[in-house]
Amino acid sequence: MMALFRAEWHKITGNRILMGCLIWIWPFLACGMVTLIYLAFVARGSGSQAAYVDSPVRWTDAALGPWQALNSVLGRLLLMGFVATVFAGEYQHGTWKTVLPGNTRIKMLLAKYVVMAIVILIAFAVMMLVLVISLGAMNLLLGAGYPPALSAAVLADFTGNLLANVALGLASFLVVANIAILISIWTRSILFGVLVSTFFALVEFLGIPPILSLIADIFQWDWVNNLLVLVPAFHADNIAAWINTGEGAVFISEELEVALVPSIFALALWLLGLLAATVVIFRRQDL
Amino acid sequence: MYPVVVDGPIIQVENLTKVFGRGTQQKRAVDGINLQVTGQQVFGFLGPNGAGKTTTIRMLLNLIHPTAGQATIFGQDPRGNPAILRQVGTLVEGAAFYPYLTGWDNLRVAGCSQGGLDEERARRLIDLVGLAEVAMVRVGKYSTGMRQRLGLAAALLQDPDLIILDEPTNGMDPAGIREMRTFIRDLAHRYGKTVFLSSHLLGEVQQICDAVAIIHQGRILREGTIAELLDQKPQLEIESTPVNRTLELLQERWAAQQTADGKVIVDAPRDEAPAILRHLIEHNVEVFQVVQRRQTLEDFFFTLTGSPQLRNLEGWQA
Repeated sequence: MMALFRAEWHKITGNRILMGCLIWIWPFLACGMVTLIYLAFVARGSGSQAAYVDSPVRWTDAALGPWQALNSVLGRLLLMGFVATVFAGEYQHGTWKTVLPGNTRIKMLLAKYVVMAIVILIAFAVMMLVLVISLGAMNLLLGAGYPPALSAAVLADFTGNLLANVALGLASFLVVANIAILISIWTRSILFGVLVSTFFALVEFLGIPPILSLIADIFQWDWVNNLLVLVPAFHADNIAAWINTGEGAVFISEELEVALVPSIFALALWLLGLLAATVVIFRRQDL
Repeated sequence: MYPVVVDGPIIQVENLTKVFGRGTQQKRAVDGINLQVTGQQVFGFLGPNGAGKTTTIRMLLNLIHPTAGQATIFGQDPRGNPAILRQVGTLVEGAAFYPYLTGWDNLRVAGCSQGGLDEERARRLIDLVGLAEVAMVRVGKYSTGMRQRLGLAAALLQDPDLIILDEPTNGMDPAGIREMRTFIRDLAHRYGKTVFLSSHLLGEVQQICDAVAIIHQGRILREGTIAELLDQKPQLEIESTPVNRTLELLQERWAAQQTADGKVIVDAPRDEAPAILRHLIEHNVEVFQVVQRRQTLEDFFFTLTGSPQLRNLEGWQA
C-alpha cells in the first residue's frame, strides 16, 4: 500500500501545472492579500493605521482563516478542478490499464483519496504559515502588536480550535470533493466532475435555503424549511457554529436547531455514502 | 510473490464471453472462447481489428468484467486475486503514460503501482529499450514508437513470468519492429518467459510465434502451433500461358485452381513436377516457371476467408 501512495504522490505532485494553478496558488494568494492590505494602509495614511494599531489582527485568527476558507464556496470551487483532474485524469490519459493490474480498485481509490487530501492539507498548512508570518510582519511594519501573547493556556485553546477547524474544513470540503470524484469516475470526465460539483457547491450554499423558504411561504408548508437538515452545508455551518460560539446555527426558522453530535453524524453519513457510491461505480466499470 | 504453476497452462480461458450494450445495441465482442497457453513460448493471438483481441486481454487483466466464463492466470482468477497480475507484464493497446512526467518518472510510477521499484533494474531496462538519453524528457514529447519502447520497459519492471503484449510494434519504424521481434523471441527462448502476443500483422506473428489462436468476430476459429496450422498437402505453383488451358489440362489428373494473379496452384508433390511439365508441354502450353509452394500464415488466413464463416474480413486491411 505504501508503494501505491508513493505512485500517487509522484503522479499528483509531478503535474506542475495542476499543482501550480490549483494548489500552490493558495499560499501565494495569502501573501498577495496581506501585501494588498498593507499597501492599502500605507495609501490611506496615518489615521487608518492608528485605528488598526488599536485593534490589530490576532495571530490565532490569522491561523484559523485558511481552514474557514476551505469551508467556503470560493474555497471549494477552486479545488474542484484539482480533485476532478486527480481522479478523471486516469481516463483522460488512458493510464488505468498501466497502473491498475495487480491492485484492487478500492486500494487505487483509497491511495488517490489519501494523497489528494494530504496535498490539500499541506497547501493550506503552508497558506496558514504564510498568512501568520506575513500578517505578523505587517503588524510590525505598522507598529502594531501581534496578540494574544503566547502562554500555555492560549496555546492549548488555539490547538483545540485549530484541530476542530481543520477537521471541519476538511470534512465539509470532502463532501463536495466526493461529489466531484463520483461524477468524474461515473462520466470519466474532468469537465463534468468540475461542473456538477461546482453547481452543487453553489446550490447548497446559495440556492437551497431560499428555494425551501419560498416553497414553505407559497404553500404554507412550514415543515419544508426543515428539509435543510438534508443539506451537508447546513451541518458544516452548524458544527462550525457549535465549535466557535458554543451554540448551534440558526437558519430560517428558530425551530430548526440541531445539536452538535447529530450534525457530525449527518456530515459523516454524506461523506461515507458518497464514497460508497463511488466505490460501487468504479468496481463495476469496464476500463 | 506467487508460485508459478509450471505444469499446468499459464493462461486458461473457459467459455469467456463479453457482451457490450443492451437491447438492440448489444454487441457480443467475445463469444465463449476457450484457450490454453503453456509456458516458455510465444503465443500469438491473431485477428483483424475488432475481432475481440483487446477485449479478451482486458478481461485477462481484470480491466473488463466478463459477461460469462472464466480466465485464470497461473491457475488463479485475477478477479478474486488481483495480486497475481503482479507476475504479469502488460502492454495493452498502445502504451499509456502521464505526458507531464518524464520517461523515468513514469517508470517509477508504474513500478510503485506494481508493488515496488527496483531502480537498478529500471535503469537497465530503460537502457535496453534505447531510451537512456531521453529518460529525463517528458513523455508528452515522445513519439509513438518511443512510448511503445517505454511500455515494454514498464511491462518488464517486475521481471514477470508472463508478458502480455497487445500490438507491441504499432507506431514503430522498421528497425524498431525488427529489434522488437528479436527481443520478444529472446524473452521466451532465452529467458524462459511466456509471451502472449496479440497482433493483426500475420507476417510478424509467423516470424515470432510458436503457437497461435485465430479469433474473428469474438470466436476462436483455429488454435495450434504454426507447424500444425501450416501442415498441409504439398502444392506446386505454375506460371504459364494460356492459363485457362493449363487449368483444364491439370484438372484432368490433379486438383488445381487459379490464383488471383494468374498462376495455377496444383495439389501435387515436388516429385510430380516433371510429369506435370511434360503433360503441359505436350499440349502446347508455354511454361515459364514451376515452384514448390510454401504456405504462409497469410495464405492460411485467406484460405479461411474463403469459408462461409469468414466472408467479411475487411478489418485485415486496416
